[in-house]
Amino acid sequence: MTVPVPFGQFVPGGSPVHRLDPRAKLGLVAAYTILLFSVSGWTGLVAAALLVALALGLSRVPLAIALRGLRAVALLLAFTLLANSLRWQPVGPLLRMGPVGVDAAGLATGLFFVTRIVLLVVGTSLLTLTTSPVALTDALSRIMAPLRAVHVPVDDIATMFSIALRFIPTTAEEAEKIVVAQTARGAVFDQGGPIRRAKAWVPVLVPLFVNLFRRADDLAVAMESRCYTGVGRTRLHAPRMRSTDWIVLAAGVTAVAVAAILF
Amino acid sequence: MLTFSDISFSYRDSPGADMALSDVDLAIAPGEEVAVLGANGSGKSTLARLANGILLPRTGAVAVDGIDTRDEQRIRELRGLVGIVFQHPDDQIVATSVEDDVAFGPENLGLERDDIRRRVDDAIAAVGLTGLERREPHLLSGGQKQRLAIAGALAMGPRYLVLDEPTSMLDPAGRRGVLAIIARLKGGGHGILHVTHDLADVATADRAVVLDAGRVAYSGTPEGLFSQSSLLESCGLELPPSVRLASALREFGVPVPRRHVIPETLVEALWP
Amino acid sequence: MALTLDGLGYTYAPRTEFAQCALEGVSLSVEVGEMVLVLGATGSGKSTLLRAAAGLIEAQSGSAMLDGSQLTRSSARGVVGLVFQDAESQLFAETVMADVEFGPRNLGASAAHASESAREALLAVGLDPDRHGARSPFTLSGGEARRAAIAGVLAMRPRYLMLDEPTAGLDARGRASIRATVRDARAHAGVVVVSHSAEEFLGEAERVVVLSRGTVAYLGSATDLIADPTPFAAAGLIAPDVLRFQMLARQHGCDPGAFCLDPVQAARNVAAAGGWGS
Repeated sequence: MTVPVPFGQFVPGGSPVHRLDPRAKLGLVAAYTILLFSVSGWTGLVAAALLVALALGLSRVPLAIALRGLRAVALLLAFTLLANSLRWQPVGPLLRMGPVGVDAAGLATGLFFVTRIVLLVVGTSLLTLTTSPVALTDALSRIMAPLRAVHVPVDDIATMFSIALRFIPTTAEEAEKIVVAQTARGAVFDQGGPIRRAKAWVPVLVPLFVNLFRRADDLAVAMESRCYTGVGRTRLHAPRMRSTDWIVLAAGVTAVAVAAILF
Repeated sequence: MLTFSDISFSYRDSPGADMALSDVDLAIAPGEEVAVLGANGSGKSTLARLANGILLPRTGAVAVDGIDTRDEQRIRELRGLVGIVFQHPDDQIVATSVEDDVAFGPENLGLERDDIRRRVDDAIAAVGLTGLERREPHLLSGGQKQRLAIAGALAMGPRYLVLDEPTSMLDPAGRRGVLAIIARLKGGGHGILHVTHDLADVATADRAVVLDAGRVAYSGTPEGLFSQSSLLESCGLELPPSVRLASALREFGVPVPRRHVIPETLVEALWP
Repeated sequence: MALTLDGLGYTYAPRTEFAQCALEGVSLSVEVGEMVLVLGATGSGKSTLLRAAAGLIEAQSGSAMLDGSQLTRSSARGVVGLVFQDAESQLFAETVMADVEFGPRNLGASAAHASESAREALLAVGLDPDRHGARSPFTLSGGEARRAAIAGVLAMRPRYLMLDEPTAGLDARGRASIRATVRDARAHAGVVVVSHSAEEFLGEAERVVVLSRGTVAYLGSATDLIADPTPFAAAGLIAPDVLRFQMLARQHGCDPGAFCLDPVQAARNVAAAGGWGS
């Protein structure tokens, strides 16, 4: 039974956004984030929203999927709105509930912050939706490359991330198997207080970790057998930033800079 | 030649400790397949790990085309000559796609991109995984994963292949696929050291060696081994039904040629 | 007293884009004292079938009955034991004894009672409780660990025992030991063995279910399947070598009579039919 694990948020596709070099995308996301936090008014947010809408449209990712990320921050959004709009004994409130009321100005500020968070989440999800985890970690390690000069083990770190990604689905399957096996031996995982529940996971975590350590040993032997030393590696795939990538990055950063200044 | 000369090995350093291997001599030439058999604990997996210097013998020497596994300066060269495939398919796969994993070895050797590309494509074709280059490993079947591991070893361009129980975790379909590849590789001139506890894998080997508690209990032809039932039993090995069938047929006067044990080839020989 | 699955259908992740139909219209029944062998290629639904039989998953169609009443996770608890593939990966406790006692303790047994069940179970799998009981399960060899895991299930004294590929990956001695344990277990349990290699258990099972892509390709006695092994090919499986040889011999005009699993007897029959030898 191999139900394909939908890893992370990556939705494969062939849109221009998908094909853009991950480093350019990382650069754009960085610029966009700076824009979001440097605008002072609603016009700025509208400009950012337009940029995101443009990118979203180009990426052909369904809107429903793009907005999925907002579920995770729903609580934060609600809190932000409430924290900003509720006032103790306000003057001229929109709504009053005893000593506490909803203040018009506060509500506006709350909505501003909420919109900013929404735009931030949607904008950055676009990155993970259109870039595979492998391409992302590759891009990050390439960006980190200059750190080699100060003896940061960039290649080892990149290999570590790559191996971790490779083993996430495998380990998840194994964990599920062990949970079912222990359930078949009468174990229960959903009863009792927090301490009892935590203890219930020992029969799952112990074998999982023991297996992981064994795997790590075996994997190390296999890697050594294929001459892995951590240094002196070349790469099969070494995508270069094409002129299109540079142009898009430059255009994006310029647009963002202009928007930041104007708004 | 891949040679094991008078090898002894123990996992513990103390003098009186149990020896995992004692007085083992073995040599494999290119184009030859040697099957090493034994029950679990007989030392056969230890032998596999001595082949490329993962483990070093306590006494004796292991050499690949003249390079001693103790030679630290040339260990990289040595590991380019002998590839190892292990028992658990999952624990050899490092990358997130088939072709990236096959490329792992050549990348470690610092080869040029075109060279890597060529080796990757050739290795993937040799194991019949063409078309699955971008597939994620956890979506492969057990047999496919093991073939991926073999491709990863082949991409290094080895002359010798050591396979440590490559089929023991696979289902019958996976087993057949892997055994077919091993036969092709042997035909292509690779020297093969095939470690297994399953006598059914042995029929196509040129030589069979049985290990028992770390010592060589038999070294000779596979057919010679099939007739040694008491030795097999004391070494914890079992004759597969097809071998027993062929021996029984011979006993009852049916003219079965020596080498044929699979029903299809038996039938071809009897009713051409 | 029987465990009966009738027309079971199960789909993983239904109503999502990952929906996968694992079982369709599958039936299986086993009584105490008998062994049913379930054969099928990888992906045929064998493991799903076992999980359904142990009440771990609830089928979306068909019925599952245990000793006359509905089979649910709670009614199966302690009554249906399931030994998973690579069962040794469930070992976790500090000592072998503690691990084998885990099942009985979860079912509410007292420490003394659990300890007694554990000792019996360890003896049943050929592990001496006095020698191995205090060891850490992680120091056991592959075969010993597999046996300790099986003991962990036997200690719960299940009336129905399901085993998923119990001999996979073991050497000859390991396999022989597990076969003996399974044989002994039949005396007081209904046993269902899932395997992708028929040779091991075909001669011991009363009935066989052959699964092919989630559906039943054959459901009948083991004797009938041995006499006519064509369902193997229909399910994408390869029949045991000895049977295949006899089938081919018959096709070539040398009919050995009724097929048998024993290589020596089969050889004798073919030799006689072909007029060879004395």
